[in-house]
Amino acid sequence: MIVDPSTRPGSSDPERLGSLAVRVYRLCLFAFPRGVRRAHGREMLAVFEALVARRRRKAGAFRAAFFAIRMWIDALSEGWVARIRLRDDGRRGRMLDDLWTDLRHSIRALAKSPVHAFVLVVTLALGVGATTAIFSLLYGVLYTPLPYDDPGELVSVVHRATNVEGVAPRGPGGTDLVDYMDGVPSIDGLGGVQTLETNLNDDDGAARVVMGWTTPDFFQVIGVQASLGRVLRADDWAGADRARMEDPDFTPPPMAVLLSHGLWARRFGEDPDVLGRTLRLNGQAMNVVGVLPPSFRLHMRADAEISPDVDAWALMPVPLIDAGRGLSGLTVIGRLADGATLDRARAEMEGLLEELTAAHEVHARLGTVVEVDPLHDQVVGPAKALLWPLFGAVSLLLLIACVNVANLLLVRASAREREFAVRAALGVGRARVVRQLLTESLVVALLGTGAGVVLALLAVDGLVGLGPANLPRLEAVSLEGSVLWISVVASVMVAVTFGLAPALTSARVSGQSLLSTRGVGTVGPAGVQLRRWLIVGELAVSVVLVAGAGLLVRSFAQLRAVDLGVDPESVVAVDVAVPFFSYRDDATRSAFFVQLAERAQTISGVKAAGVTARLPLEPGSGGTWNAPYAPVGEVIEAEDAPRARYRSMTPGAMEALGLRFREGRGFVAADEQPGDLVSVVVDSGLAGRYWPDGAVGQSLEIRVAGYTGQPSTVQARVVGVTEPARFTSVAEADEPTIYVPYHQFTPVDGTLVLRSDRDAAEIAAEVRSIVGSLDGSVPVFSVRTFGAVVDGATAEARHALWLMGAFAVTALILAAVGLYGVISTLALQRTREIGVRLALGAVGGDIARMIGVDGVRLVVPGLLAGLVLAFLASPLLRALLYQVEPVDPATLGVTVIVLGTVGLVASLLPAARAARMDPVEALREE
Amino acid sequence: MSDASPESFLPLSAPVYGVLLTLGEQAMHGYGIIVEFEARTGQEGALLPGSLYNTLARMLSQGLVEEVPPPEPGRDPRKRYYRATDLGRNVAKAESERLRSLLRLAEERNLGGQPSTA
Repeated sequence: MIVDPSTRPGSSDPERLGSLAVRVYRLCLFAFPRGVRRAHGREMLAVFEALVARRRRKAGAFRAAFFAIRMWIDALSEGWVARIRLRDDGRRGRMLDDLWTDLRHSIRALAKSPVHAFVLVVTLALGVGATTAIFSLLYGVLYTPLPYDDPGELVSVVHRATNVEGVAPRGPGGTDLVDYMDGVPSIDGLGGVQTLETNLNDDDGAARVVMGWTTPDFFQVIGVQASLGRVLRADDWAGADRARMEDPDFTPPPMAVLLSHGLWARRFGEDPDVLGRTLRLNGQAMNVVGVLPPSFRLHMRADAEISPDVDAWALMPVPLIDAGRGLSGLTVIGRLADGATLDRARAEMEGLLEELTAAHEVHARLGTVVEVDPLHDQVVGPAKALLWPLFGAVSLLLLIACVNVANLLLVRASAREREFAVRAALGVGRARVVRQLLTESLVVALLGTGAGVVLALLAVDGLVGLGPANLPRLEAVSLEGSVLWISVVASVMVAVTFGLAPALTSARVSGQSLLSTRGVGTVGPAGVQLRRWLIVGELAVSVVLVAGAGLLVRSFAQLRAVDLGVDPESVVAVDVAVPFFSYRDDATRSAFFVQLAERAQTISGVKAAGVTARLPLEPGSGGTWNAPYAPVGEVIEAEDAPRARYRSMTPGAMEALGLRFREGRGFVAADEQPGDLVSVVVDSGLAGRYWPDGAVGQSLEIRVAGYTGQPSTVQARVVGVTEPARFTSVAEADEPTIYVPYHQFTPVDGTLVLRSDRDAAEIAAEVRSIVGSLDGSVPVFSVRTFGAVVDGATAEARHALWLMGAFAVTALILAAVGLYGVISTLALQRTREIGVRLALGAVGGDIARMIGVDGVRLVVPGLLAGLVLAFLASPLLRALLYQVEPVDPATLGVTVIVLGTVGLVASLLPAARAARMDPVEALREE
Repeated sequence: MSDASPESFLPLSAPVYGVLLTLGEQAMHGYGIIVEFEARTGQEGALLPGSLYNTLARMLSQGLVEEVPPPEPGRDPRKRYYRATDLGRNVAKAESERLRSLLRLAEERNLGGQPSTA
């Protein structure tokens, strides 16, 4: 403490404290550039001393001490100001010269051990590249706001039927939607959309386009403007009620159509005079009112059956109020009113639905609940299950890469310690050595991260190009600068820290002592210990990645082993669609498709052919319906009536798909003749529930949806029973299925399935000529093989597997390199010991064992720690796995064996080399 | 530097103006400048040695002040004396003129007096 001298005259304390303050001030002056310090340093000290003394006289020691502290701070901050100014003022030339010299030295030093440099650069590049690419994917997909006006205000609205099993949530029924539009103050507007493929006809011929049918306010709700003309609005509606639409003599008036930028470019060559031109879509005349911006895409709930790329937009012809209650085919979004919260909107909607449920029996029967969620969450939610584990994996990879770089630099520093000792002995300053090493580390770091940036750019393009179909928002993915910086900074910091740490150690040790110990201890026990820990950690992290990849391999194998119930080999599928207005009549439509199937069966080399509304394992469920059924004697209207998925097929379609029959037969031509009793085929799950002793010949009631008319209940008789087939997903069993003849439900578009060993293109050409001879205005499109469709259905699992597998293999290589590096250095450090042992009669085997044990001491704890980590990380992967538990003893066992083997080989190689050592050489080495 | 016009240095930072005003026509050492500055402005610790010498170093290089031999030789050899150059005095005058015009404006707008306590 500072004592007031006036109370203790003659005490030496104030002087001592004063001189302490001066000494601190002298240190503070080092903040100044040398020039200022030399010119004014002594003066400043004198002024400081005088000022402190003066203050003590005037205000006492206590105040003087505070004043001294103020002056210290003043000196430190002013010193830095002066330095910055000096750096800005010039004298750059000399610094540049030094830098250039350092750079040349670094490059020469790196070139002396090219393998080391190469491994360092590649390791850094992999770490930076992979992390940046995956994070860019994650960021683009999950965190880019939707490209709509105030996207945070957009919500998704669905109805869920809690009393009915197997019905996915859908948009509210049109009539409910009208009630919601008026009765929920917290919601500013609601809009619905449905996308369907349709035929476009104009002077350029026929084409297949995706049509988006919307409610009147859809574009106002989503907040998108046209780039030419205008978007659709309520007064564009030129439809008619349901009854008139179904009247064969009714020709609807022309409708307004809004084009996508793509269709405008394809069909009109971006002609600005397109407004007012007429298109025929599905036989209906439509006037162009506007063109959307090129960037516009439809981002809706991930589970909605919506095509994101819509070619043309029109208002739904049937008024919403006629569209019924409950669940609809619409995908519905809403916009929160200003100041409204999601919770309030939810509460208001639930309240309104309660009133509707009291008033309308359908809601009570379905057990309708309404769900309101932020649209963005619903769009990207499911992608999280894939992206977060991938990001976890890639972060671990970056960690391993950094550990490896640290390790390699430590190994190298110990190998070069004598070089620096010699330089120190020759009088090279410590600062110079440190700067030299710093430059070397920086050169490696910059080369590595530079290559990493290039790799990241390529990988982002590759990932988007790979285009896992189930990932939304890929168009928003681009190289993410922030994470690029983070990984670059992390790598540079690791390179610099570990490039420098041993340099500081070695620079501290005097040249004399280092030269005399002749490098036996190298960086000393602490450095070796650090490297050991790094390797143990690296192995542990590798276990996590390899185990993760192993789980995905097992999961994928399980997925591919699923019995699909169909045979995708040698099957070609083509889509055929008739224009609605000329085929409005159900009988005309089904006659066309049945005839098409019959003619297709005559194509040479075709074993079976038929038409179905939808190919198994293609997304969407259009052309099929979920409805109740009842064996005779039970009531189909009952609330607890069982439900099934109905699929309509022409004769030959089941055989072409390869459905296997347990009993009975598939459809024949006679089944397509209208009669009192409809022939149906059921799957064995359904048959076993009611008729375990044989289903063929049994009767039941079924509910047929009606493509244009109302659903109706008809009497049916079972003619065949198939094995269960996977139509909707490879991973999950389908609902009970009832196949009905095509005339019972004939959509305008059907898929012709042909079983044949011939080439798909040849078959398609023959199909085109058949369709042409039936009706020249009907297009044939989407030629594909069933096998490709099945591959597509497992694409998500395959992509996850590829990515995780790539990370795991990289991790394995990096871990092996790291382990090899450490064990070889350890062996090298013990060269003299080995020499002595050999001279004293030890044989090669003993030496190999001695060095090998070093390796085992790293591998075993690494694997054990890895098992613990893998156990902790396992929940992350759960969502990606199919019929494999995240903690799978078999996978973990294989992982341990693989990594253990790699670890042992990496440590045995240096051990074997040590064993072959010549004792004389080994001793001379010292 | 010394052939630059006085106006090109404006506006001056508070320490530079303070040093020029304090020096005036005399030669002073650093401690003297600090003590004089405090006495004139009544603010203790308004100018600390770090800022003072940083400022002096810059003013020397800009030719605003120059070092002169001690007026009475034999005093403390660590003390060096500085005096404003002609340029330095002209710069100070130009700054004073600039401030005067600002002060005139302030008075016109009735902002020239003491701040009211309300």
